[in-house]
Amino acid sequence: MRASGTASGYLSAAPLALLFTVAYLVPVGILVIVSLSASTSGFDFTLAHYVEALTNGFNLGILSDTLVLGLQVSFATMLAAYPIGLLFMRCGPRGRAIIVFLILLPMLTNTVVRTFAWMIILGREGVINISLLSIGWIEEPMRMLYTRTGLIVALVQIFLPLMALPINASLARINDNLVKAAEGLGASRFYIFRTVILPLSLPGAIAGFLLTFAGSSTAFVSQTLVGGGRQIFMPLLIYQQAIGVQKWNAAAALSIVFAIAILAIVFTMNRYSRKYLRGMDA
Amino acid sequence: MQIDRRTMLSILAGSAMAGAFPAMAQSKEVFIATYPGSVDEGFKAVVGPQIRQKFGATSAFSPMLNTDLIGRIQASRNNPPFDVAIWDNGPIITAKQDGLLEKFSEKDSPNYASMPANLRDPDGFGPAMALTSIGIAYNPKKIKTPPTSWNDLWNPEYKGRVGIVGPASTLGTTFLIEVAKLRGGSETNVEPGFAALKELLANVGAIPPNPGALTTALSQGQVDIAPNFFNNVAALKARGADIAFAVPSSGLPLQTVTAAVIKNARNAELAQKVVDLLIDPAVQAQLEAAPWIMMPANPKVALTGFNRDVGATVGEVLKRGIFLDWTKFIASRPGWVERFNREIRV
Repeated sequence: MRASGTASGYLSAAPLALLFTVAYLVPVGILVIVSLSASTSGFDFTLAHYVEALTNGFNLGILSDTLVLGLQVSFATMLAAYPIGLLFMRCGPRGRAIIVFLILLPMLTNTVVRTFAWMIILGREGVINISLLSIGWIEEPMRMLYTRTGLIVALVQIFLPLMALPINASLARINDNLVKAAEGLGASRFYIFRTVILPLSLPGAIAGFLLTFAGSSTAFVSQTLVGGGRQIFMPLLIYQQAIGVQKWNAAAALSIVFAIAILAIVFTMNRYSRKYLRGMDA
Repeated sequence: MQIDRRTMLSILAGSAMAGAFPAMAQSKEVFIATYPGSVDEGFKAVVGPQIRQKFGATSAFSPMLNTDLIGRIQASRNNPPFDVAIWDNGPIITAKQDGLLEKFSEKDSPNYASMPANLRDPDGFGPAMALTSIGIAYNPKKIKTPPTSWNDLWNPEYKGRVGIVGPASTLGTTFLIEVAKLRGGSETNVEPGFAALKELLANVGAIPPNPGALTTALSQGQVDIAPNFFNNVAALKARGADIAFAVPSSGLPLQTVTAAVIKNARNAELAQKVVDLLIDPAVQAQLEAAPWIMMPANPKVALTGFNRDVGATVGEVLKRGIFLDWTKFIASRPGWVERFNREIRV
């Protein structure tokens, strides 16, 4: 019985597996082949593009800066998501439904549109500058668009749902009696957060962190439009190489290096956090 | 929601049918790649109806950058996604080298005879259908003295008010070369240009990622003075924005926009006719008018409105204009893009 159940399980997963193979693994395979070739017409093996990608200090600087951006955005998003999660924890079913709806609401708008909205908000004659100038808080418009801070703020808003939803889910699973017990024993609110709530919600936070990290370090449109042409991150570098100057092979090698760097970070964090969580259970 | 097998089958059958219909209509449809912005809007409003009326065919227009276009055609050479495309001077060289274009059948084109020699592709791939010029765009409310030279961008008064773009775009490449020329360089020696751009950084308020974003930055007051295409400025001005265009004293950099048939176009004969239609004086005159304000290439078309800011006639514009020889520097351009990334930063 059980064996046939597994067999039919495999069978019903087959279409998706096939789609995944054809639509994802094959293109990635082609990308690897292109990255190892000296030209786009025919295959002519070379490691030169990888040597260039890994030894060119300028490219490496962009790679590390892109990963740092991803980490900055993920930490900032986590800081923004926890208060929402704590509120969520205290709400009844109705309140929780409203919070989830509000978190999901921005996702109904395309990322490109949200990015343009941020350009209007952050611009020199944008909503923030005009308001602050008119109430006399600032004398000169502040520079926010095309700055790193502006970019991080925009990315935090764009990726907040990916962080808030898993954090909410793990906070909702925490047994309320644990919090009450801690309160009964005289623990302060911050102490309860640090020793009970935070550790128990870590699985959700880690999932959200990884999603936000992978998403924000590769967010081509937002990085380019809000970050501007002077801050160059890996997606724009790859785009310029492939589309701007038609160096497809070099662009493919950069893409592979970038993908591996992100995977390595995601993998390491995942492994490390699992070990930590297991240690906590014991 | 529950979907039973029958509903699923009818959905599948329906989508299969929908997929089959375009195949049937294929012989009467032409796919044209245009430029983003007013060019695309003009093509949809003017060229689309003409194609239907003259050839009884439907048309679809896709706005995109030339560099994207090359990638898309290369990805599917045998079944290209477009039949006709318009090209900037730089990318058309790559397209020709990569064998992406079909020769233009000049003898079948009644309008080709009126095109001046320097507006015909030297390798026979088609006529220029429009001219784009590059100059200084500025906000006349903020910049009180109209600029007359590229050197005005270095005016210390404009600290933080200048916008530029990198040489990955036609605009950025042209700007770099023109600045280099002013400082003793040339199309092949942009060293003085890079030195000048480094000095300009003190004034630069924004380096948007592409010319379109630079135009947005101008219209939103992010910057007040920047090199830009005349077409972008005219389109904004037509909508009532505070923007003006100044022709640099060193000359008006001109580009040709060449219309060419894509190799392996599904309907090559119709595609050739569409290219002829694009240089037809009547079609050109409609595109010349507001709100599209395209600078026509056919000298038979009279200039009106904003286009007269650049010259009284197409002939005069051609006389004032400077054409860069893209074949001379197209190979150096990737190096310039990298160098700009590396050196022109915060």
